[in-house]
Amino acid sequence: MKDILKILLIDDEKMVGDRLKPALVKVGYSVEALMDPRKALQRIDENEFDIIVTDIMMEEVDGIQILEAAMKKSYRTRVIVITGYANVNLAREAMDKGAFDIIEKPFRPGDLRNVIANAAKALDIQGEIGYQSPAN
Amino acid sequence: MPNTPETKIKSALSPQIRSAQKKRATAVANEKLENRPCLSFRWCVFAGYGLLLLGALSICLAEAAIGMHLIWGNALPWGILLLATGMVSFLISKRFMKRIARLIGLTRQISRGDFTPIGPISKYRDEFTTVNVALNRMLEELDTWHTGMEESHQMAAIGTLTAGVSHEINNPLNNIMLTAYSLEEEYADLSDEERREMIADLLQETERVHKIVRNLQDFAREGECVLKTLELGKLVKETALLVTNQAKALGAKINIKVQPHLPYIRGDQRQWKQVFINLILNALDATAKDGKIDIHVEKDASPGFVAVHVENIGAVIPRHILSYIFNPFFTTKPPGKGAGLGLSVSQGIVTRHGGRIDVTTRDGRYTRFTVRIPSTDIAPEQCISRRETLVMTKG
Amino acid sequence: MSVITLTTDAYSRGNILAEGIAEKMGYRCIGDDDVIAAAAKAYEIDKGKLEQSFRSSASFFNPFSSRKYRLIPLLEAVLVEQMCQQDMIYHGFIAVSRIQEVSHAIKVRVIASAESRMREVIQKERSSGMVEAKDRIFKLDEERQRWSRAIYGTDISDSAQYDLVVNIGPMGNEDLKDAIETIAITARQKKYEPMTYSVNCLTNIALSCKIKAAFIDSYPKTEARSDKGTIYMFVPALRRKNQKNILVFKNKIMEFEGVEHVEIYVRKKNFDDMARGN
Repeated sequence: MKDILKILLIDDEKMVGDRLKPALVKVGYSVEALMDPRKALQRIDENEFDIIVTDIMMEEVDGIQILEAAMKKSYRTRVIVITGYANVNLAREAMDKGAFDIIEKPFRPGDLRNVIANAAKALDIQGEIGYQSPAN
Repeated sequence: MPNTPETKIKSALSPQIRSAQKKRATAVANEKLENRPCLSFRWCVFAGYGLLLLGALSICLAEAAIGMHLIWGNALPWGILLLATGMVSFLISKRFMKRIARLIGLTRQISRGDFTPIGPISKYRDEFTTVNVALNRMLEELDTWHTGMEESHQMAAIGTLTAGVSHEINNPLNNIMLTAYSLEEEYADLSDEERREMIADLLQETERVHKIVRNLQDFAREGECVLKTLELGKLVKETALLVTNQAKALGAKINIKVQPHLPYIRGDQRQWKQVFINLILNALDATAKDGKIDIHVEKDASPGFVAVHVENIGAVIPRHILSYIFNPFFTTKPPGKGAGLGLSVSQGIVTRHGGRIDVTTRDGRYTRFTVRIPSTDIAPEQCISRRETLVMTKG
Repeated sequence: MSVITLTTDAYSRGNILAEGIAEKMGYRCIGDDDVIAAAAKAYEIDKGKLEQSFRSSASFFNPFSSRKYRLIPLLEAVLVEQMCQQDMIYHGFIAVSRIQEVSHAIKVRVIASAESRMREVIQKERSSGMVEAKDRIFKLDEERQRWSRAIYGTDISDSAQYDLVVNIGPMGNEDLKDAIETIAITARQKKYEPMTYSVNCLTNIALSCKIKAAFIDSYPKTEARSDKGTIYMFVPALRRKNQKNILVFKNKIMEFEGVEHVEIYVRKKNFDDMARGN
């Protein structure tokens, strides 16, 4: 049975959702893209996502809070942090709080696809739709 | 020989008598003798010397008279001398004290960061002229040193801001990267409209990077001091923009309130930005996460001045260090986190523009830095900005 | 999965500790001798020369001895390359300053009491008394300080640059066991696991070190920074005749694997450099 991965994308930059969503849908994931982190918290509460990709620096609610909320909801969820403000302390804090991976901005869509593929592998969901070879 | 007055006189007078005997001349023997009745007209004193006693002259002086004479003879001239000396000393010292007081005033002026050289106080050269010249030379050196300090502080500020800016650029850069890659990957599958939209996004984000960098470039641009008429509200807002990243990183908010219809100020834009960057960065350093910094720009209570208040709720400067915070190299930050130049450099800039910087702190409540700047009514269009050395004398 | 660096002072049983940790965690153990041997092989340089460069320090008669340290970049390149392969513990101080920003590199410092170190000297060297032992330790510590300051501008004993500082006091077997346990537990924490960001950081550092090492003879005072395939070279002010060689220099760097773009900047000489004799 092919499971479609449910991905939640959170970034207050509009273009991140605009460009990443089609790129991920193309390889067969189900993607929800949000710009408002408060709405994202709501969605996390309502729904269990397989993978959450979140920015750190956002108004009102930051990525660490999203990470904590996701971990509270389900330890299965793989949270990938994308940030333009990466530094050693932030990286360690995010890992400590349960992040699966941290990518620095700017990144190529292919970089994120690879990381999501790794996350999918970790979730043990394989199949034509959910898995993309890292060579891409 | 019995020690009677007679024998005393005899022995006292014997040298004169012997000399008279030798010379066969008239001799006058005068000795101060005790005033005793037995001595009056005592011929026998001289009996047996082969001398003919012609007579005795008795001169009496009342002691009281002598006493008075002594007083009037000694005390008066001494007294006059003393008085005269006193007056001369007073006059000289008054002149000295005036000079010294001026020098003390000068040291206070220097400690406020004002390195204006002092002019001569008198029309002719005196000992103080040498001191004056030496001091002026020192002031010139201090000014150069201070400028050097300012420059290095500015460099440090630029370094801090650049780090923030480089993070801020990551977002638009990421947008450009994602859009460009998507355009490349999907080119064939995209509609004409979608392609145009992506290109428009690319252009927009490039402009965004340009704006972020230009703000910093303006601040960092090298050049001499340029005196211009400035809009304080606009300047403060532009400065706050420069430090957005530092604020964001702390989750702190900067609120700016500018009173409408504020008069202008005259000064060097870059230096003023430096002052406000320093105050805001200091406030941010003292803010806890999610803290707040309030900035008010308004007309000051004193006429002819505008004031900028940078207030930090919750942060407090302990009383015992309040008097040190404007000293160069004084810092409460750990080593490597700042040389402690900020406030002293800022004070220097503010003072040279004719303003002042004060700090008020309320125990457990807030800390507020207030910069008072002389205002001007010359609107920007009306003045010609020239490159001139910024030396403003206090009026 | 991570990289552990263990910095100890002379005669602090550092080797025993490093091997103990490696065994406990299933990591490879690398010491300075291994690094020197690998660099000698990779760059075809006499091992003795590398040893000299590494162990000698600035002295009164040769205070500005930048020449002596010119081979250090070779050691760094080899070591950081090893670190990229993860699951290893390195006993020493080379390149520790360079990997400060790498979140999955755990920098550990171990300190021991002076008395126990002196006893170790007496035991090992057999001939020394307490006074000689104290002198020896003092001299060795001084030397390492000078070395670290000359190359990295840091104080080897500054705890701010380490993630964990362990005091093994009397250096008994139990103390060593406890220390190994502590370090292993710390290293297993989730925050020290590698991630895309930190792996990229280390890869960048490895490439920078590799490029710097390749040009220690032709461009000795160059600094290299790598950022995902873009290389930034900082060279000291060049004489006019050397400026023509810049293009050649650029092309040579482009030949390295993973390099996509090269930018060269001229670094103005500053007082720091002059004071160090650079």
